[in-house]
Parts: sequence; C-alpha cells; structure tokens
Amino acid sequence: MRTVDLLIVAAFLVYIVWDGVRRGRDSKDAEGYMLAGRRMRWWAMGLSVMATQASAITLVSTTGQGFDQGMRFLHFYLAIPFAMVVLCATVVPWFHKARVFTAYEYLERRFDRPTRLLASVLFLVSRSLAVGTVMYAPSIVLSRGVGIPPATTILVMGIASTVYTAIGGNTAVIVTDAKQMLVMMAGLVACVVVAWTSLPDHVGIGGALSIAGATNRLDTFHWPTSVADALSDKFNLVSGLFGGFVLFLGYFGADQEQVQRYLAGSSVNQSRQSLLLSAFAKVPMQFVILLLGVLLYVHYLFAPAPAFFRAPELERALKERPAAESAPLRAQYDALLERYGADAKSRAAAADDFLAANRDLPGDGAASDRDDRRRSAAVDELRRLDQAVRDDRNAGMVLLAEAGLSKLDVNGQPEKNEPDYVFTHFLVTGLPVGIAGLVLAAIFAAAISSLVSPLNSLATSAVMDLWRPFRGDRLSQREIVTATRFMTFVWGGLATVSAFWMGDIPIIEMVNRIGSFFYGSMFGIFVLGRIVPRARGAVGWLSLALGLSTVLGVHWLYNVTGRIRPEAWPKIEFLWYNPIGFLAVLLVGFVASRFTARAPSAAEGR
Amino acid sequence: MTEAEPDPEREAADEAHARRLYWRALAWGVLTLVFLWWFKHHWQV
Repeated sequence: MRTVDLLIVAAFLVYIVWDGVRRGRDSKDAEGYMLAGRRMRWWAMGLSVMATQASAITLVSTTGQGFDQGMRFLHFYLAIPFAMVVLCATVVPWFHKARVFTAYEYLERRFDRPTRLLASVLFLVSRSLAVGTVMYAPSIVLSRGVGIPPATTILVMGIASTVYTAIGGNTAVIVTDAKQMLVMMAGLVACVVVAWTSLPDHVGIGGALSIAGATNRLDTFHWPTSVADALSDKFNLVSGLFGGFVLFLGYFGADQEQVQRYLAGSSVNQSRQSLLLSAFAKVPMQFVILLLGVLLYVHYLFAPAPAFFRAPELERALKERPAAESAPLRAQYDALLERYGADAKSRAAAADDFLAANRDLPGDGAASDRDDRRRSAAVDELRRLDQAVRDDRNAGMVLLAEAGLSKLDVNGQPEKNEPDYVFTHFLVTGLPVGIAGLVLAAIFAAAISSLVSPLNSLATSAVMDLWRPFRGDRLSQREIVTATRFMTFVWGGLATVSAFWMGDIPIIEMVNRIGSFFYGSMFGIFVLGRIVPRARGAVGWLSLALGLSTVLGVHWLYNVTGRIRPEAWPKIEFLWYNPIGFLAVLLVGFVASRFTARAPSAAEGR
Repeated sequence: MTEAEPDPEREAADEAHARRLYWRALAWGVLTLVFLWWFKHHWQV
C-alpha cells in the first residue's frame, strides 16, 4: 500500500476515535449513555442500523460472491422492506411506549424474569461469539491481500472501537456509525466508477452485463423449480422472502445490537423511519456491491489477472523457501501459469466473439437461424472457457494447500475463500492513489461500525438484564453508567483476544449461521406475548427454550445426522430455521397457555 | 405494564404518517422485485 493511502486510513481512524470520544462522554444517566438521551433523528439512527449490519466481510466477500457466483446472494435481502414494515407496526411502538432499555426488559414485563434472563443470555452468547469474527475475518483478508499484519488490524479495530464506545456510549456509536456508513458508500461508489471506467472501450457497461448474463452471473430473480429446490437451494425467492423475512424480523426486532440503535429515537416515528431507511436503501446497496463483483469479473476477463487471487502468497512462499525444497511446487505452479495464460487469452477472445455475435444480431428480433447458432456457439465457448479458468483457480488453491498456506476439506477440495481476495487485489493494483486509501478506510469503517454496536449492546444487556434487576433501586445512575463503561472494556477485550486465537477453525462458518438458530424463536416470543394473552409467566421461557430446541433438533436430526430425514428428501438451508423456530415458539406457547391460570382481565392489562 | 402517557391526537397523526410510509415501503419492495425480474431477463442468454 502507498504511504498516502495509509495516511488517509490513519487520519480516518484518528478522527473517528476523537469524534466518538467527544460524543456522549458527559452522559450522566443510563438514558443518556445507553439511549443517547432518546434524542436521535431518524437519518442518524437509520445509517447506524445499516452500518451495524454491513461488516467488512459484507464489503469484501459479497464483492467476491458477485465475481465468482454472480448476484444470487441478493435473494437473502429481498424480504427486508416487508420485514421493516412489520417491525415498524409492532415492536417499535411496543418498545417505545414501554420505555425499555433492552428488548429483553420488555419480556420481563410481559412474562417473567426467567424469560428475560434466557433471552438476554441467548443474545449475549450468540453476539459475543460473532463479535470476534467481525475482527478476525477482515484482519486475515487484509493481511493476505493488502499486507497489513493481522495483529495490527485486530488491535487497531479492537482498541479504537472499545475506547470510544466505552467513553461515548450509544451517542458515539450512532453518530460515528452514520459517518462511517457515508465513508462506506463513498468507497463503494468510487470502486464502481473505477471498475466501470476501466472496462475496455469495445465492451462498455452493456457489453459487460451481456457477458455477465451469458455466464449466469445475473440471476437476480430465481424462482425455485420444486419444493425440494426451495428448501435446499441457498438463495432463491421463496427462501429469501419467507425464511429471510423471519430472520430479519428477529435480527432487527429482537437483537439488542440493532434494537438499541432505534430505541434512541426522539419519537416513535423517528425510530420507525430509521428502520424504513433500510427498507429503501439496503437492497439497492447490496445490488451495487454484487454488481461491483460482476464488473470486476468482466474487468479481469480482459485485464491481466493472477491465476488465482491468493497467488501472491504462494509466490512469496516459493521465494522464501530453499530452491530444492520448493522445486516440485514451483514446477506445478509454472505449469498452472502456462495453462491459465492460454485459458485466459482464449476466454477473452471468446468474450469478444460473443460480443460481436451479439452486436450483429438484428435489433428487430428477426434473427436468422445462422445468427442464433453463431451466438449460441459463442455463449457455449465462453462458458466452457470460463469453467476452465475456474478450474485453474481451483488448482491454484490446491497448490496453496500443498504449500501449507491453506487447507483441503475431506473431499480434497480447497477452501472457498479465494474470491474474497478479488476486492483486495483490485484495491492494491487497480485503484488510483487516494481512492485506494478511501476504500481501505471504508473497509475499516465497515468493520468498526459492526463492532461498536455489539460492544455497546453487550455491555448494556449485561448490566441492565443480568445485574440491575437483582440490585433494584440500590444502584445510582452514575453507578449504572460506570458499570456499563466497564463492561464495554470487558467485552472489547474479550472480543480482541478471541479474534487472536480464532484461527481458521470451522467456528467461523458456524458463527455466520448462528443467527438463524436464534432469531426466529426470539421474535416468536415477542409475538406470542401480543397475540396470546393467556401466555404468562413460565410459558415465556418454556416456549423460547422449546422453540430453540426444536431448531437445534431439526438441525441435528434432520440435516446433520439425517435420522428423521426420509430417503431422497433434501437437506434444508439455514434460512428455514427462522420460520421453524418462530412457529415452534408460537405453537408451544399457545398449547402451554391452555394449562396455565385464567386469562388476565382487561383491568389487569397485559 | 408501565407505559408513557398517551397523547391521542399526536398518536393518530403519527400513525397516519407511518401508514403512508408503510405503503411506500411495500410498494418499493414490490418494485424492487419487478426491477430484478426485468434485470435478469433483459441480460439473460
């Protein structure tokens, strides 16, 4: 990285920490520290909500997804507008009217303390597992792709986030998140502009999208072909609009990391509008990120590109090792380079043929059979050579594993993280000075904004849900604020330490999916509280526990071991765990409430 | 359950404003799906 770019990043980090520290440091009570005095405007909270969700891996990996697989991942987000409307009509006014500090405090008022404690513990466990990954994952990518040591990245992110979050509280979190979201958007737009303008003149944006369409990278609307396809295929309209719908209800409605952002609203409508910002902006933003990946695919189709995007690590290793030791690997790598060179050149020629065949098609639709055949042949050839290049990249990752720099799975297949390094390669080699600094700052912004929110919420929940209820009115406001600041340092320290020992263990994959184990059940308990008046007391925690157990049971008995999976039935994708958990909680709650005491009278209220 | 003091007039105005936003968000969600369908089919080979 160039010095100017690193200076831009350093200046950004210093500014963000300074800005965060000066905000909210004078908070004297819990409401001021934890809920920004309930004074926040919708646009600041809305940008904070978006920044909290968009981590560095969103920026880097999603671009890689677009490069490698295309835009199917967009289906994951399609339910957001609909989920946000439901949340604005339900939990937002419930929480606002109840003047709670945490989502789980609401559950104590509605059910009992054990329900609150269970929900809070589930949040603390799931979020603390995830927060180390938020630091670890980008540190590895930046280390391998940009050359910044992982320890540096982890310490910078960990210390910066912890310090200003502990001092500034939720005000610092929201205000800096909003600014960091703007930095992210600026970085994204800059990347798209550079990628677009770097396309060869004879290609242009139309040609680029044609090539992407021909190589099946623009599948933005995938209707499953069967029920089995809907259940087992990762990203399709049905799983996105149903499974994703319940996931986002749970994530934005029952995860304190997000709830605490919009609890800071100056009115219920300010809080609603903050969520509705995501309803309008999230899908377009993800569309642009994936489109960037597609543009980079076309860019590297014509521009020089490494055989695989982790090749620099292999080359470094081959240089550093004694010649005799690395000779066999070197020979294999040289053979790969020769093969890849030929494949890449042929693929570029095939892309040109395709564009020419496309261009020569009559615009009035009266194409002759010959024109159609020519175009068809060009598409087939392009797809064949695209697969050949993909095979070359795969072979490169196998060599990386043989060099001890990566792993193979039980089937001898390499890690699937190679596309993550497309973005960093473009950052280092394709962006002009200054813009590269902005984009690197955007990566740090994405990481830090996804750290500060959980740190703030973990500390708040630990104090308000697990400690304060047992201390009652004996705690002063000052003590609460001091305890929360202390807990922020504790969680920040734990997250930083866990990021160091995380390593490439499968926990990363698990952590990324862990939300789907919890969110359906968590949102279900809030809905149960509203639609089943008889569900009181122990019914709360019982429903939540059994709902969660149902999801775990389905995961283990149906998906993992297959003990309850009929022959020839497919496994179900993780998005479906959300509606399963949600429905299980409602069912258990409804049934269990039949065995409890009489329903409350109107005078008692809920 | 402890709740903030209700202000019926303001709540009614807030709710009416919110409902307008809901319809816009739902319409946006549907339009997004339509756009994505068109986008795919326009460039599909």
